[in-house]
Amino acid sequence: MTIKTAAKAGFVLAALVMTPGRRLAGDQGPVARKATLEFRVLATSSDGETHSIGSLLMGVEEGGSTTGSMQVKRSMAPDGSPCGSNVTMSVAPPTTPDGPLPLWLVEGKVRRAEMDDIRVEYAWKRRVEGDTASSPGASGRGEARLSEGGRALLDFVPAFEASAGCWRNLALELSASIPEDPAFNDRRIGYDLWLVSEHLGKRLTRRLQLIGKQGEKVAFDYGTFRSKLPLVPPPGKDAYLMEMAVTGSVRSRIQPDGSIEILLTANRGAHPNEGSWYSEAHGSKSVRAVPGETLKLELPPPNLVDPHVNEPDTFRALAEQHVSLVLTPTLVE
Amino acid sequence: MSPDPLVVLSAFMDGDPVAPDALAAALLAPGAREALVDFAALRAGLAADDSRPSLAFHRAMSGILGRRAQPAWRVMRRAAAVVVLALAALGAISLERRFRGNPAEEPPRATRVIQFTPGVDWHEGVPR
Repeated sequence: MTIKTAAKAGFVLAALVMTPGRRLAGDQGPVARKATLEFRVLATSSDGETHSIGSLLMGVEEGGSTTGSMQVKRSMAPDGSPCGSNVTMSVAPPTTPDGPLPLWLVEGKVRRAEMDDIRVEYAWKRRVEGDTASSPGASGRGEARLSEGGRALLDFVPAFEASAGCWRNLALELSASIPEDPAFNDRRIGYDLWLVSEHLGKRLTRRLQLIGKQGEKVAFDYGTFRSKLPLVPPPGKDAYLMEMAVTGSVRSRIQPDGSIEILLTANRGAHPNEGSWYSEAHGSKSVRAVPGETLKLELPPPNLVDPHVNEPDTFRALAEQHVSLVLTPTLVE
Repeated sequence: MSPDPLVVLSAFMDGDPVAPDALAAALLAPGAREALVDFAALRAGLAADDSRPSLAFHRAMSGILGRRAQPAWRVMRRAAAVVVLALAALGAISLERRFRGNPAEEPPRATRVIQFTPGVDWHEGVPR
């Protein structure tokens, strides 16, 4: 880190700490984490495309819960077609179903609200006009572990009767996200990201410099690294060549205390240049760092997972190949 | 056409190479003996003269001639030469790095080392 960067990082940190009205680390206890739950109604039109026709968005603190209802109706489209849709949403206590299309009653409880790891306990009921005690409609409950932008399909209804000729089916899905703090919504974070491979005294490095907005997932790919293993070469070859690929993503959020919460995912694949097996593993790590701080994340060596591969020497040699990611996050002015 | 006998004799006295036939012919030329004696006397006289211009002479001449300032184009030319040499040196360093790799291309020193733990936050296979 240059002195200039350090000074900038220090200034930003000081500015954040001194901003009036913001909560400082340790002065009022931890800030409650929040997630935005989105219950979405999807409709597949008769010509085959699936669209969202209505969403119910609710901000819920970790440990909190919310309920709502979504009534699907048909309406006239602006072009005069009878296949328009209308979803009436309400967080008030549910009313009785109106028409032959579903009324979904939904409930969501946020168990965990962390970056790319949101756990939601959900329950839903589907009712239509004419439900009886003997045929009360459908319901379901469960727990979904969602990444930011990930989706879980909760209910699926083939469309008959009134919707015939307009939709093939309707569905209810759940997704979740972490709401952005308006104070940092437009901020950008720079990532100076190095891949370092050390083997038998040789050191190979590759560098990527990336920028992502607050909460934005930024992918990285270092391409293929070739290295020579100290093993007997395959017949007709001069050396035992191994190919390694490291990919992943990084997502960060500036916190009110000035630190950066980082989620780094990495994927390491390895296979011999002349061989039929491929070993791949992945992981993710959530860490907090001060802007300008340098972190080294060591990736474990490939493991023998295919029982048909009998190359213990290869995996012993690979275990000597130390691969790490060196990350320095900074605030982009 | 035969060379001038005095020129041949002068060259011989100065130690320059002369053709033996030309020297023989020059020595037979009228006045050759006197010319050789004159040349020898002149050389001896010059060798014995250790007089030098005085300091006053130097000062007077400097005052008359003055010190000529270096023309601007000459200064510019020298500056340009320095810049060209510096660029050439930088280019050579850059080429060396390109072909041999840059040893300075190293990541910054980490203040924290974090390890993935197999089975906990590191799993075999492709991500879901």
